[in-house]
Amino acid sequence: MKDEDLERLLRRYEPVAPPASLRARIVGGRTNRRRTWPWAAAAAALLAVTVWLASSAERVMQRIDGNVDVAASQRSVEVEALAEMIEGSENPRALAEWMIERRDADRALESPRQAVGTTGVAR
Amino acid sequence: MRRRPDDPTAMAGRLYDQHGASLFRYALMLLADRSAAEDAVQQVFASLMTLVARDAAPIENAEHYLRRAVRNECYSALRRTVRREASIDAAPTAALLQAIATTDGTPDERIALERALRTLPAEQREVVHLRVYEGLTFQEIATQTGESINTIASRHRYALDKLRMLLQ
Repeated sequence: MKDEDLERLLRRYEPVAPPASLRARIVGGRTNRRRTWPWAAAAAALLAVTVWLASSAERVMQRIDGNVDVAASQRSVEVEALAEMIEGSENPRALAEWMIERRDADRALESPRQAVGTTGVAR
Repeated sequence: MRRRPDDPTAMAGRLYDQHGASLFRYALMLLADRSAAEDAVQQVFASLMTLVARDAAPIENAEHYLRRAVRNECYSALRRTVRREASIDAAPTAALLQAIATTDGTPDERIALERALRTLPAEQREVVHLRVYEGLTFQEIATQTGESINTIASRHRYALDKLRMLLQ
């Protein structure tokens, strides 16, 4: 088959015409849903996850702050009570603090969760 | 005094009526996929409407602009899909060609021709299209595509050799 024959064969055909709906798609300004909706869905999902994570993190931080405040005041009461009990020694408050710290350290060794509940600090 | 911007939708409709069919056929031969060709042409007109709506500088030669834009969009689409389509077997099956006269050709001949065209690289299909269906010279094709005339002639030669081999 010569080049001319081949081109003659090709010229017996032509590329198909566009569908009539294409003009309406262009002039009607309809967006290509196939192309845009996955991005919109992904963006919405990402936004929802971000908001959920932010609110969860805030709740967790509020709970931690509350626990630390309660544990700190409870520890202070314990130190005061123990200092009164051992009054008469050279420095009752420092001694009481040392004793409470030792007690918390012992508890932490036995059960870390219990120590956190008492002092608010994981050791 | 500032020029009043053309209505983007009316302008797109007018340009589509003038050049839409030719642009679609060009995109179709580049992409060998009707759906992808529709998307490419639509994307080009959407970009054009956005450009006009912003009252950017008027487009001097709309046909030239649209042809270049369609070509760029098609090659971008080909780069995106080259990883998805592992083989020619996965290529779309919707018809690329239609007989010009009802007495011309047979369905088997058309299918064989389409199958052979689909196996060509897009660059070679492009040259065949511009040469055979738009009647451009090698020089005009070289100017339109920004390639050298030797490159265009080589692509044409390779395309015809491969079509001949596949059709015999």
